[in-house]
Amino acid sequence: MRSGRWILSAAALALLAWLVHRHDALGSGPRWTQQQIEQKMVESAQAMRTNVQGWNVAATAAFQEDYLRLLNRSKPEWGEAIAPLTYLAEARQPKGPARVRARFTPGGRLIEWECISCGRLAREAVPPASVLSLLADGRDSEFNLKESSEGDSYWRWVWAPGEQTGLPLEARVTLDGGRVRKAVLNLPLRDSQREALRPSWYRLWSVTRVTAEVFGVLALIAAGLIIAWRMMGRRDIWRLAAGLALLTAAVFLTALAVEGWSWHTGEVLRDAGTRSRGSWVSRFLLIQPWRWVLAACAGLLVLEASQARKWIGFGHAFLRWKLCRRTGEELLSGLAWGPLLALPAYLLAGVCGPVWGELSPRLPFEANPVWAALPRTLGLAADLILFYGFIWPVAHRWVAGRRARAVVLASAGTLLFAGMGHHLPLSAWGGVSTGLLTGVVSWLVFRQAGMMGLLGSWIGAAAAGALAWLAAAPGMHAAAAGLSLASAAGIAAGAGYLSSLPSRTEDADLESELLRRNQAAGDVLGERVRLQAEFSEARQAQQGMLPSRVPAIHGFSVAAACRPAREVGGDLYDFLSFPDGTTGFCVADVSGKGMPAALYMTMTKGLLASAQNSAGELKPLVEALNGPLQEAGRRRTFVTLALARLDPDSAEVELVRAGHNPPLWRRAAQDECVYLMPKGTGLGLANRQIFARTLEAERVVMAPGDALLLYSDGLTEAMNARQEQFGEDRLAGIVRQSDGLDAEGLMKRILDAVDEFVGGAEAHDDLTLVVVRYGEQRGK
Amino acid sequence: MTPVRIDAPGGLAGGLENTAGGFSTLLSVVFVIYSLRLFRQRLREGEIPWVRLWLLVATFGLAGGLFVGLATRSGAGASILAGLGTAIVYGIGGLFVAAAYASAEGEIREGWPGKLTSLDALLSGRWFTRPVGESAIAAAACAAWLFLLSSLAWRIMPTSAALLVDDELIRVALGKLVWLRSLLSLPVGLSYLIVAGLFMPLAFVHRRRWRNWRVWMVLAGCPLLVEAGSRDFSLSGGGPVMTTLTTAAALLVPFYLKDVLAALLGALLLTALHTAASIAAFAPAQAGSQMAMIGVITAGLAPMFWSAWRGGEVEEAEVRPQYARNLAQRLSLRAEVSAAREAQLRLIPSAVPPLGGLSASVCCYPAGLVGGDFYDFFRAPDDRVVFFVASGGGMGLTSALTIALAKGFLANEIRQGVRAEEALGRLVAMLSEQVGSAAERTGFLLLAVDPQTGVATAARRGAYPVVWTLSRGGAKRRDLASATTFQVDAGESIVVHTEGLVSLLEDQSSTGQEEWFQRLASKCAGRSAAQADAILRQRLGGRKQKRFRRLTRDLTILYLQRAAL
Repeated sequence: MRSGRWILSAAALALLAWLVHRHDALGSGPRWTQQQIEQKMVESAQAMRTNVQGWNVAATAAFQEDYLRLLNRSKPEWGEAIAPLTYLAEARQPKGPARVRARFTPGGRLIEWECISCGRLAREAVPPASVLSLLADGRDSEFNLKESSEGDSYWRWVWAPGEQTGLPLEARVTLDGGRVRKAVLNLPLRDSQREALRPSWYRLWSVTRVTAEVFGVLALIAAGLIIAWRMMGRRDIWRLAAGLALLTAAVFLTALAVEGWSWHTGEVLRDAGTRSRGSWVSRFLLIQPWRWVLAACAGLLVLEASQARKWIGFGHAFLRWKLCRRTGEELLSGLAWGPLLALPAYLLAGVCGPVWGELSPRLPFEANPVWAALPRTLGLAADLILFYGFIWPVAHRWVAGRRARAVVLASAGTLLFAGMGHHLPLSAWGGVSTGLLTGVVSWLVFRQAGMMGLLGSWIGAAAAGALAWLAAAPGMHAAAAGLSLASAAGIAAGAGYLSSLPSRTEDADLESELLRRNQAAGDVLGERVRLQAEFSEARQAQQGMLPSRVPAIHGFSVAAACRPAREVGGDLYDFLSFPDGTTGFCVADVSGKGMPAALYMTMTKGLLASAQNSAGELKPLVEALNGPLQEAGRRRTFVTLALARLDPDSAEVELVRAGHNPPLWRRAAQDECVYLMPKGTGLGLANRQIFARTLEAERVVMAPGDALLLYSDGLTEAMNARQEQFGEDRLAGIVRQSDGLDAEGLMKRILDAVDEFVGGAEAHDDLTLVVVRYGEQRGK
Repeated sequence: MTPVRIDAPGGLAGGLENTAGGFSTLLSVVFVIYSLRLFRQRLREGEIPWVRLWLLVATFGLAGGLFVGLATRSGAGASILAGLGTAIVYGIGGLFVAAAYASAEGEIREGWPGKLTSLDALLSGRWFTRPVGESAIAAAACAAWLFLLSSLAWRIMPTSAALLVDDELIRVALGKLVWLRSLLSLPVGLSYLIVAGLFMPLAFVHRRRWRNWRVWMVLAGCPLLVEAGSRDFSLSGGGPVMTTLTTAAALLVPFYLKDVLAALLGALLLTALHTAASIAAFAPAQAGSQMAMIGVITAGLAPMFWSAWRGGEVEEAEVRPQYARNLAQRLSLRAEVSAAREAQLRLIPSAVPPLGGLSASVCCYPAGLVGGDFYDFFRAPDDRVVFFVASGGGMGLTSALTIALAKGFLANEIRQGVRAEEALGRLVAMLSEQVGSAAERTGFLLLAVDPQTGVATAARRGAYPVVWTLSRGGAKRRDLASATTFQVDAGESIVVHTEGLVSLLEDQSSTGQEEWFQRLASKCAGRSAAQADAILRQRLGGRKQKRFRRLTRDLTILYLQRAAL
């Protein structure tokens, strides 16, 4: 398949050369070489008594469609003077402002001569009659003088036979102190005459062109809006933009380096001085690149899975700035497709004879076929990138249904390639057909070689054009054409080398990365939603850190609850299983609320979880917690903790209290509630010595019916709307009245009472409660 | 009344007008782009004041359409059509202005709390409340003083001969209902002035978090430029300049003294006074129509003045619209997260402990406000330092909680002499039971390096953190699944990183990472730990702020170098 493509490419190249040659032989006469044009320029200047020896001469060719139609229609006698193809040459004074511009027919007749900024140039005067004779090629007797100004500075003659036939051929000469400033033989067709010459489809073509221009501009605006909307923190977009801009700059700088300023002279000449060099350079360097930069960047931002594969080689080159095997393969493949991409216009023109005469064969007549053509064909590259890099992914993303998508893409592609293609010979249906053919070929390129292939095909098309030109007119710009081909060959060799490299870069990685970045850009949640989700997750995680079930201790019932005031809280309860078979009950409260408190709470939980494995006495265990918490809290955050260890056999409870609320011991037999208050300061507040010195352990023995309550200040300090606290007395009262309830029942009654007391007031602090009841009691 | 002197445009006046107009246009373009970016963010947060936005578009469109329609003198049908067309054009312009308003309003709520309360009250139907009345009085007082100031300037400044315009010419220029047309011109100009001259600059300085002279440059410069861009400087003398200055002041002074509503009303009143004075000066016969316009405005504001005395109080929360509640909730959540970040930073050690023959540097950048990444140094019973690095897996708060638990657990385990591998095993078992999926996505690494022998022992759970060794020969990624012990020769370095480093790389594939570390190894070869650390940070993207912005995952990097012999 690969060799087949190359064979096809070679065949396309041969056909292209033949077609260009065939077109060339169609009546435009033999091509001039650069040297011939320069020679003609010197001769014409001598005739005008101006010495341009040693001046820099640049040349170009220009085409006039109306004249071609006129020739086809009437074959006027002076047809050669109004030839559709003319050669323009410009000589520039090496160290001065003077310029001489001359235009010749392919037969060598001078039809326009102008000396610009020649005020200080030493020249000789020339009689106007001899200038007319030069322009009229010796048939000056057929011209009647129509106008001459005061001081004999302006002369105008009209060709007499033309006045009867309606062909307003005229000669004009402008003198400056007797020296020729401007002399021109031209055919000033009126607009109505031009309209009459134009075929019926011309209006349709104009509408198509305007529609395509508008479409292109709208597409670029859409691309700009997509970039503004979706490009948030996308560094890869900048890399892509910079890469494409650099590529454009490289093309122009190379053109400048090889050909000097003359590469764009054709452009300047064609516009007859209305544009400066600077404006052309800025147009090509500053404005033109933005078309494909915008398109490619926006396309990248809307890329979906079905299209990402087409961007791999391109992505390696322009997103990662890496030249790898895939890039080389795609580039090489694109280069092979180049001649086929260049072919459709000429093929159509060659095959459809009747259309041929109506086409404006711009490409082979361009000024400099090679380095001038390459920057100009950036238009083709920009159209390709605009269509395949932007419109294509946009259609795949937002147009549902294969058929609808195909219709949209076919219409957009035809319009774009037919209407915007200055690089193609266009005219109405011929242009539309050419657009379609270009679309089909470029689609094949895109399908097979992706975005990088399109760039390769652009280079291939330019090189193919150069080769065809060489075949058709070997003497014209041969050196530049050779350089162009050598460059293309160099690029092909480089691509071939890359293709031979082992595949070191993971293509799948890039593909998934492109998609991931797009998805991340598209799915960015609002900060509020994201934070809410984060808090929700954190709450779940924190709740998960609390014991999922209470320990089963024979003869005892245990219940626990924790209600954070916010999403997450700084309270903690835990059950510890000590190696000696005893069970620990712990309630801790971190200073502060919310997430900061939750962080210290979980750290305390981690410390406790590790400490329980090696603990003997409670006091050293709690002392061991103090160091890390003091270090982490840096005296700004501390933890209060109540830790009780129950020996189920003896019902003895060992209790330490590090600055925490005093645990409540319900002594059922004595019908009293006792708040146990062993000494101790909060964890993280004091250094090891002070903490150890102040910490005390207390032991009590529970009797059947007794209950032990460990709780945080969120319980006793719960406030109602009147800012009253629930209080320890109210807690003790409820416990006293709940002797018949097991731990679960007691806890529920306390929480219900708190809820009732608080009413609708907002919770100010986390609330935690652990209840241990001795003896089998009933539930509520 | 303001005297009018008309000179031929040009000279300094023409240059000033052109310059001001050019800069004003440029400023508008910049603000359009900037406001679109803000709008997108507000839209995502559900903080777009849609009702106000469409109200502004409608006002802009209707006032603009009527403004032009009233002046069209060619038949009723043509007037309606012209008005409709202009309304659409003005409506589109209004869309940009409204989008800018919608995006900047939230910024003012964030940066200047309370400055929108009276406007909220007014727009929620609580017209006759004390804040609304006070704003109206403040606006009227400012406008009056500023008008007096500009009128004095017109009187005092030297001027040339005046040119009076006859009544017919005014009618040609402004239509028949001159007072109405003057009134209709106010909403369009005023909306643009207040959005481009006050809202957008406030949003800009709030976003930039500037706290210095630049704030005042922007806040004073923008309204001046916006006003100057639309002002006719063909009249010579200091009058137009003073009018420009006072109009800009009519925005800023009431805003700072009172609030947004005061600024809006202040600018409205002063602009109306300026317009009336100018037209009356050009065409004395129109003085009555201009008085009518002032009368209409005053009649509209009179009840508000009364409400400053008798109106009821209003709390911000009562009149706060829903989208502003979303904003308040977001700010509250953000404040909570900021506090958490502060707390989390306190959990991170403030300095690297002495490490004998090793030198180390470590940094931790969260991708969000609170990161899931963490590092610590644990001291083992044999006095070795064990490096602990945790990768949060991009889970933010949940990761932070999980890692705080891990820190507490592992600190105690290592202190008690438990082997790293064993301690990690216990931790993961506990986390799996208690935290679930968060534990699976969180990675832990315990790394100890013997400075004497260079033997490094590492234990890891999860795909991250990743360990690389850098030497002159290149970089090597350590596969900790197969070997937990490896040799670090003198002068060699260890780099431990979390997922954030990968998110900073352009090529995030394994090949890309490999290449990046190979280049890092070649750059760091033979360098001191401090130099290598600087190179590492430089390669990660220069300045800290720049790195911070680009991160999509939390980043922790531990750079450890064994001293050369």
